[in-house]
Amino acid sequence: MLPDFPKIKNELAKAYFQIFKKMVEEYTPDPFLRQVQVFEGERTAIVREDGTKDENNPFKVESLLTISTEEIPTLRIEEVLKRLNEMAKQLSSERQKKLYQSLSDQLDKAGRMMEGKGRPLSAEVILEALDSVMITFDEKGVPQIPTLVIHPNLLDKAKAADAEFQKDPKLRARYDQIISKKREEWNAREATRRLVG
Amino acid sequence: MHERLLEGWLDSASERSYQSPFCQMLAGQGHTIIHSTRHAALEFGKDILSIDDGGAPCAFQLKGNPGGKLKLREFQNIQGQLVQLVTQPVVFPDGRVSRKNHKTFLVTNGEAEQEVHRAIDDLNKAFKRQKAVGAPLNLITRGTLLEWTKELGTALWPSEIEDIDKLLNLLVWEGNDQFPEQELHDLLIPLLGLAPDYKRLSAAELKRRITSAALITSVSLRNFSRKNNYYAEIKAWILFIFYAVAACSKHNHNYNRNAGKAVSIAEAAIFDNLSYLCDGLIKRSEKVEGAIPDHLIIEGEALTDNVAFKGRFNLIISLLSLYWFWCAERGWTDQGQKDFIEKFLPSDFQKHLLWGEGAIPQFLIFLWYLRATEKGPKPDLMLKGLLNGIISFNIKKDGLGLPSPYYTYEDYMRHELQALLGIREDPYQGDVFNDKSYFAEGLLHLLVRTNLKNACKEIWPDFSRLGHSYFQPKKEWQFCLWRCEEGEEIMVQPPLTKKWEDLVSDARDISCAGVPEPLKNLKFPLMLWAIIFPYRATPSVIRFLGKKFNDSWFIAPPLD
Repeated sequence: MLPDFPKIKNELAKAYFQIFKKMVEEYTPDPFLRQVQVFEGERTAIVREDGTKDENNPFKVESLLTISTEEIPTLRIEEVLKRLNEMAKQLSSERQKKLYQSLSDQLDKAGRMMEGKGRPLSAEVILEALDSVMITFDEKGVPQIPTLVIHPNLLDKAKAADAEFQKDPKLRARYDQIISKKREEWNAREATRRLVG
Repeated sequence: MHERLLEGWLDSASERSYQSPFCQMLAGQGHTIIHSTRHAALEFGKDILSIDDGGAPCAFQLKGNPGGKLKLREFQNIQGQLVQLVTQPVVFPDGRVSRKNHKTFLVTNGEAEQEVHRAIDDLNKAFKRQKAVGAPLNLITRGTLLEWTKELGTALWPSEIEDIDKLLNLLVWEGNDQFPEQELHDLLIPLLGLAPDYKRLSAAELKRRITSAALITSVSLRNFSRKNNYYAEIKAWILFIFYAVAACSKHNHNYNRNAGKAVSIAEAAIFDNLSYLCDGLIKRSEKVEGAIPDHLIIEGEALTDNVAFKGRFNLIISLLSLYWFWCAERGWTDQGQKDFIEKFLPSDFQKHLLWGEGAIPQFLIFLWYLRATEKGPKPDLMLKGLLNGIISFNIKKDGLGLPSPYYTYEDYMRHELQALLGIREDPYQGDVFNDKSYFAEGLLHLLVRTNLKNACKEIWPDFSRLGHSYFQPKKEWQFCLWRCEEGEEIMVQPPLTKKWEDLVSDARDISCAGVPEPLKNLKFPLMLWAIIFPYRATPSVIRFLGKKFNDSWFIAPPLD
């Protein structure tokens, strides 16, 4: 072989990998995305309170970084970082697509899908969705409102729905009513959290 | 290549470090080892006693002459012992005196000087005249040992280049470091046919491979034995035991017939290493009069040992607690060790560090030691405190939570020192530990057995907010592997309301489901497995070990 400097190259590769991981995280801002490492086995499973079991099979996401032979002699670090950034963007997007697909499949299977019935995204539809899910409360009684994830195409409609909500006292009253109902449900649920007998 | 590696190992092995593999080779030739541990209830005057495949008792005296020769002067120094060995009948550990004549062997891992051969010939002539019960005295030297290892071991060792690399890697590993379990795992998997799609081995082939695996384990310990790294030796032999059990179960062959002898020898090696560890601490205590127990476990440079100390403290306390149980069961042979351990072990968790869920088995065996030696509710209240500690760490939404049992104390150190050392990769990166626990369920069941019902009721609401995780291998034998490709990581969400009677019923279960049957009779190795690979200490294993190491039980009888 030709003379080489494998130690420093390995260190650089490790550094690139760390930077890449951070980039992917930055492109994945969803606050509800909880990462856990799985050290062995083929899948994870959750056994629910009622004894039902949901299995989750991992899915593969990939993106590609291409460097041609001609480029190597003149390739600058900044350019590598730029390409890593592009690759992180692709990977993150791919990951989110697959994640939402998987989520959608599971909700569908569990009968938890809410049909929009052709209605456009509006404050009323959002409140309806909120009413259909369980809302938790922290120790101080503050509701932990779920995150709303939408397609970028719906951003304007979501903004309009928010403006509608801010303006209309009836919608706000409906929101308060939902939260109040959810709080009662939560308190009733938490009151059953005990060892009896 | 393999032979050269074995030569290198044999030429550097002390008497202590080649005793166990020598026993494994005898077992591979059909011997049943009657006594090999250096710390037995009686001093038999022989290093090893066995019964060969023809039913004859055999007595062995071992000498270490690594890379050298047994000289006449050395031989003359042990001549008295050898005369005893040949002229006195064999006494078995149960006190029986052998009625049969026995075979006698002097073993050295070096060569013997010509004068030694001559001296043995002269002695044997005298023994013949006396009609000594153990005559003649036979000599086993390096050449014979190498032949045996070739026949029983190396021929079966993995011969792929990557595997040889792994073995070489183990041979150059720093002997004072942690034993690298992955390297040995990678060697034992092909050797014992433990890859999921590997064809079924015949019983005879399996037996040969188990002997071969024992030899590869011994060889891999070369540098660790040289440094008297007893914990590394314990870890390697534990791996060997579990992989041998896995192989019997996977290939569907009787454990007792095919692995029982080899596992017993490995168990004896583990027991000896625990004993050496204890003796080492006693020696340290004798050097510094009035030294407090903490000071005895400082190791290496003072400048940096503060970071390693806490992890070592937990570990040493757990190993000595386990050793205490083991000696108590076999019968104490060394009152000095008993006195030392009882004085050395603390009376509470004050100096322990809960660095992660991986430390819990270490806490538990110490807790059971306290339960066995103390009256009153203190150990039970400590258990409640430990459980509360795990739950309160992991229920917080904002914190990291207690690292899962897949993370080691070394990972904890790397995480803590990340900024100072400029470590780019935090071992915990990409993982969060709150909202779930691997040990809370097992610990709650132990607490239920104390019948502290109100304490359990107090704990239940927060307990039920956590998910309770464990790994379930696809096949039972895969429980014995360091890592397992097949299986699933399961998280159980407990119900909001549970009846006390139902919880009691769960706590009574000591069937140790999911664990291969032979391990249920190997409680000390199983406890060590839980200490070394804590993610295998599932609630089922904790409930089982809890019964084996703790007699106190205040609910309806166990369900087996």
